[in-house]
Amino acid sequence: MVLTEENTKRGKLLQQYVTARITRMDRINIGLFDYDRYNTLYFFVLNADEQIYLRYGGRDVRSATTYLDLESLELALEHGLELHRQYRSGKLAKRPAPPPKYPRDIPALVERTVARGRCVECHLIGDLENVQRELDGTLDKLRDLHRAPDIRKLGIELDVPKGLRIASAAGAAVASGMRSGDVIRKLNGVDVWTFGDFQWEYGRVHHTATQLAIVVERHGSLVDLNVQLPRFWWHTDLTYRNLSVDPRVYFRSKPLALEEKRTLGLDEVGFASRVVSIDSLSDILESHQLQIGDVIYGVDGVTRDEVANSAELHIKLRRLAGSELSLQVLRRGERIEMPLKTTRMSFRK
Amino acid sequence: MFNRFSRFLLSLRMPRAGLFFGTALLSAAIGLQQRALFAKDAVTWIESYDEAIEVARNTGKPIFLEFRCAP
Repeated sequence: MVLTEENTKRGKLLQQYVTARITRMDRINIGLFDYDRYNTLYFFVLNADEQIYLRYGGRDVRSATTYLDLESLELALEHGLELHRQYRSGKLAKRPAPPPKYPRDIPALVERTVARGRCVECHLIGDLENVQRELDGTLDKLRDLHRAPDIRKLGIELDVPKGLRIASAAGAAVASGMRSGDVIRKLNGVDVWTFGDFQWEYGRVHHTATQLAIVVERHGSLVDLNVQLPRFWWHTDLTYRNLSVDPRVYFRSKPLALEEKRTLGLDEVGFASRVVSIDSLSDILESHQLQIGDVIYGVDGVTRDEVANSAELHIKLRRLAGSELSLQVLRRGERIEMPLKTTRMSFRK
Repeated sequence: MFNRFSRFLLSLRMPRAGLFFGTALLSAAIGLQQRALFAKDAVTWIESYDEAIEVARNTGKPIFLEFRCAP
């Protein structure tokens, strides 16, 4: 089956590249090719000296393909060729390589894949890097799970086929002077050519940062913008990372609306949430005795979490796999205490 | 599906119409097949990273490197 005909624009661009597809990560330098492993597809444009020119990929909670588009791919391929020309003519400075790191350097990954003769898949690297951090006591869930901040929190909507062209600006973006039609060129002093570049650099900004330096191209000129970061700008919905987020709790819950919390006499700014589904594994693992419709309004007496809007998320972000907790539950008007035993998911890892 | 289409043609009681539709369908199918046979894919994917580096070094081309979970 022909996917990219040679006479098309994309075909002609790709013929100027060496095209390589990697499906096993066993011998890949994951220190150099670091990216959010929850991308289904991710591309790099680089040269034989392993200098990375740009990335193509990135996603958000809506879909793995929100920012993938054949037209913007062609733009990225054109940028890549131009950067390669600049590099070969000495106009593009060589950048220092990050420290090398291989899958074999992550003991938890080796134990569960390499040692068992299993394929080292991209998502396993992401999952087991976090497992290893947890074992080493260095896991910071707020940092390590929120790797792909959403630009819509800044009020930025991209014209996706046009790469980093702004379709519309609102909120913090428009307050900085950003306008539709602008094309983002730099983020905190680093050249960005694609959404993949932008999200990668954006994800590296420290969570305590309060502003972002963005350079846009407008009518052929470069314009400096200073975007004031809103509170919790880095926070994203972790739903699509569900399989990566331990501990397992074996229920799903939906945050209560403010009115409901008021009516039930619960903490109005708390994370009270109603159980909407229960995994059958909860019985087998004797994890809990929650019922659909129960409202969990506290965990070990804690009722609020500034970054979690449900009891389920609070547990996932704040507790380690294997911990045993006490839930405060409202069931048919009665307040009861109930134990919850959490576990680590093992079948996928 | 084919039977339903045949019944539709017979129901027309118009052999010429059937011949016309049949010929058109056959031509379209042959056209598609020819396109599939003669169109050339621009991309040949190398599945070894080291080989890609070597080819890039020898040809002076940049590398377009894809990571994905399944082939």
